[in-house]
Amino acid sequence: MSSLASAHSAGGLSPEAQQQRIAVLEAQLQEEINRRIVAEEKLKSTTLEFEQSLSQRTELLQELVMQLQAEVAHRDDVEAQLRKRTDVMHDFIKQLEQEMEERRTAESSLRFSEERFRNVIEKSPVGICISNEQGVFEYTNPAYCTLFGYDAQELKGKPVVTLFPVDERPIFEDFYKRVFAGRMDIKGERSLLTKDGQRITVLTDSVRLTSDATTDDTSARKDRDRLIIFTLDITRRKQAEDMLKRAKAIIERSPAVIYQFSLSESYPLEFVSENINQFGFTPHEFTVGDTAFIHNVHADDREKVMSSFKHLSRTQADHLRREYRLITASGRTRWVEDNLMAVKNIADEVIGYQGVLFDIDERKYAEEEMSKALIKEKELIELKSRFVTIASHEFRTPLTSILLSVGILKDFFHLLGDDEKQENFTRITSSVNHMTGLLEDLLIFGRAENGSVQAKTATIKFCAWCEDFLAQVRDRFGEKHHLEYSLPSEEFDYAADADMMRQILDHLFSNAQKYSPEGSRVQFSVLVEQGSIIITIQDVGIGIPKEDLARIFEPFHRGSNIGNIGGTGMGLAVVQKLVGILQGTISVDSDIGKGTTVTLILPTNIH
Amino acid sequence: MKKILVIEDDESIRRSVGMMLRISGFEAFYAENGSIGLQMATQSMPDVIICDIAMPVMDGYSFITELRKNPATSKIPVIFLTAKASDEDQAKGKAMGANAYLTKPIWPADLMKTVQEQLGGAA
Repeated sequence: MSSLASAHSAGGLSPEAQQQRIAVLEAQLQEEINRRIVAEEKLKSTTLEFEQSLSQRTELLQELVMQLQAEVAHRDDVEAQLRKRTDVMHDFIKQLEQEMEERRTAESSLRFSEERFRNVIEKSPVGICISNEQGVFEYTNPAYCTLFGYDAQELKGKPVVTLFPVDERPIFEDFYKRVFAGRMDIKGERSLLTKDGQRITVLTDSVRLTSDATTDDTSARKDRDRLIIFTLDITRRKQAEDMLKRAKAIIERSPAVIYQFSLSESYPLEFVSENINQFGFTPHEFTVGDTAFIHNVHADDREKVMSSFKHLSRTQADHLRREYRLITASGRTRWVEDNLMAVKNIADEVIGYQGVLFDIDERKYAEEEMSKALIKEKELIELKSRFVTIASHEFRTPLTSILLSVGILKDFFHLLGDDEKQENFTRITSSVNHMTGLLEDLLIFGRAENGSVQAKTATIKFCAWCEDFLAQVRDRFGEKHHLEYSLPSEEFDYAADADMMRQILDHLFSNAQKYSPEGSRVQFSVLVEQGSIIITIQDVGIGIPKEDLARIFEPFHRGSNIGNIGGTGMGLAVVQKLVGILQGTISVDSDIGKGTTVTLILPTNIH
Repeated sequence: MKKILVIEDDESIRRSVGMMLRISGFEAFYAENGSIGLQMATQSMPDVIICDIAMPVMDGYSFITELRKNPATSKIPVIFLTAKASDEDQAKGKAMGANAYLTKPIWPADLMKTVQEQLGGAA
């Protein structure tokens, strides 16, 4: 093609150029012919080589076919063997399957057991953690996490000392080493911190999980050592214990003794607070020893205490309050208030009693004083009222007398004879004297009551003094009463307050006269015996009723049988005061309707 | 002459009242308790009786009760002259039938005035 193209293009060329071009083409052709000859020769040699190689290969192939034929024969043998082996393998697989089935069963049971075990741990109310030898948490159960307020993930990998209060951490830094070295026991109570910093009290115990003992490599074994720590929150229990301790301390400090006894026979005391020692006893004496509490109750109160308790248990009442006297260990008597409260079981049956007992001796004393004061006040009120009644009556009579006499003297002076004038003046004087005497009695009594009256002693000849005094009495008696008397045969000196003696005897004779019938006798006698002068004044008058005898020395008190016999009720009250000042005694014997005997005993030496 | 009976246990008062009555122109009788007074009242039929209340043997209350029971003496005016001065005592005295109630101490003029009143009332 290219030569054609070149010929075509050469249409326009010069003959030289065409000649030149033909020469080039001839050269090119020759070259091509040469190249073809070379290629033909090369083809011939190659074909020869191929033919040679083909024959070689055919020979080889024949050999191979023969070999193959031999191999095919051999393969039949192998196949037979193979079949045999396959059967063996089937058997083996079957066995294997069986084994696998067994293993699955075992695994399932193991899983079940593990699950159960995990369940126990997971659901345990006791906090459980597992830590490695470095004291780092590996596992914490939910109770443990809840106890300290952490998530399990938060704790995992954290050192256990995280839970210890900061100041205690250094102590526990090498804690685990020591625990693992068996030099420290983790058992016991300790205070730990929750996540939010609250202190809780826990009780811990631990189990060391050691690796297989057959391993010889110590370090490897230790790497696999674990510590299981059981942790129980006892904060509440601790608080309760603290409360109990505090309550106990309060009880011990309180003045009230607390005790408890059961309802079984002889009512044994189960508890008595320490402060029973305020009465000199120990709780032990009652709770362990055989001292029955009732033996320490005052003998006079025992019956009352027992009967009140019997009543309580019979009526099934809840509460009993009683007051009685307790004899202390040193034998002193103390008033106590004892409050019993029933202790009941769930079925609401009384099974015992709790008692609160406290010393009320001072209160009792104050109460007694108060009640005495009240009685005194009542007496005073009564006294006042009696005073008003009697004074009003006793003063009205002489005042009337005075007023009448003054009126007569004033209005009718010129009509009165001298005797009548004198009579009126005398009446005025005696009425004034009567009132003065009354006032005197009141004054003496009041002063004696205040303790401001003292005896003014002077030595007198006793019998002579009596004779003189009795002569005046006889004058006063006149015809109305007869005086009989007996005095010691021998005169003696007596250091006495003669004025007081006179006042005393005046009142006694006045009473004898006032309360005995006209014409009766009044006896007076004096005996000297063993340093005492015994004086008796005896009448045969109306007597004093028994119920009044106890009160005759009270001011303004008068016997209920006096009728309209005038008087202030001050006489014997004054006499008793004066006799007291003279350090003597006075006693009154009386039979109603038969008479009264007053006995005075005065010491011969007044100190 | 009008007759006045004085029943009074206190001798001094009895004598003073008596003296005053005599001087004033009356005839006076005396008794020292209600029992004697009752006898004298029946015997001498006084125009007025002056009587104490608190007296031995028979007191003024018993006396007036007995006096009023007897038709012969039931109309005689009675003046209580007593130390019992409370309002209750006065009320009781009046209730018992006393025509006048006077309390001790008393001025003679007041006593005489009351006696005159009772005589006028009785006349």
